[in-house]
Amino acid sequence: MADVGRTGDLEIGQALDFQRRQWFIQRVGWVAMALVILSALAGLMGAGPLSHASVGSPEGDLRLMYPRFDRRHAPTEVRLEIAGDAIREGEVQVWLDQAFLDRIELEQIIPEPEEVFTGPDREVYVFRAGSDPGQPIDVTFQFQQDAFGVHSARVGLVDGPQLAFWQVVYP
Amino acid sequence: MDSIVRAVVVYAVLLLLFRIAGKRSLAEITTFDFVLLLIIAEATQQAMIDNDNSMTNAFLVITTLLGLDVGLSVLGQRSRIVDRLINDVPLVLVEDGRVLKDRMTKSRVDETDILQSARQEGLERMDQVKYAVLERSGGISIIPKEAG
Repeated sequence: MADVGRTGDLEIGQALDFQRRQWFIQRVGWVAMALVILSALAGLMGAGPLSHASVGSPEGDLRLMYPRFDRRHAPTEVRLEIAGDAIREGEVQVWLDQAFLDRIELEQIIPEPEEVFTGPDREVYVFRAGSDPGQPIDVTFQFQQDAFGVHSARVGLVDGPQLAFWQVVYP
Repeated sequence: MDSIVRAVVVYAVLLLLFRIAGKRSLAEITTFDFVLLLIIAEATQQAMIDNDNSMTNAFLVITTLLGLDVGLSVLGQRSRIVDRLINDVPLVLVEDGRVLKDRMTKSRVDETDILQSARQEGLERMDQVKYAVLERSGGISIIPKEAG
């Protein structure tokens, strides 16, 4: 709806009150835009210092590095550090809970597991230790998030410690 | 359904961002603004299409975007407030030869912008400008003082 008023000789729909409110809102918006950029730089919207998180078992034999804030369909990874004393008979069995696996698109596991089998509500990955028995193993799961929201997930060693963590996944 | 939700969200976010950025942002398109527009389009496209490269998806997205545009313009015709929210209001920057500095600063327009538009009207100096209006589209229109 055009509302036409008069300013001097001009027939024009100026609305100075609206204009002033708009200037104010725009300036608030600029601050908001700056805050969005700063929070993204800090890692609140994906990779960055505030996103980097880790959780470990009390015994210190299992540690998980994961991004607290992730984005749907963006490549991401979690890294498991398994201490040498958690490795039994030259192998270690890592499990991820099925609910977590259902929400992601698993792309690669480094190193590649020797064997994979499905347990109750979980998937188990078997890794063989190197020739040096006390050597820790680092396992990296590379994947994409498939569902956005706030998710909690669990990961652990068969007959060993388990870790729970949560992630915020942006659309 | 997914593609329609995506298109609506993208439309709403873009509308909001461009209204916050203000009408001067990409109105008078310089070469760099043009490049910027292309990059914005590219960045938007991925989020809107996702991995669905089907023609159906493209048609759905286009239909939704155009539908929103038509819908909002109809709403804008019926409601003054919607019209102002979407399309902004014009603002007089030079009133009867008087340069309104405060308004110019707030709308991020300076005298060189006004003089540029004035030259397009065949004017040479600021004192020949009777009215300069920052239009809703972001352009500046000039009304010259009558000769004599």
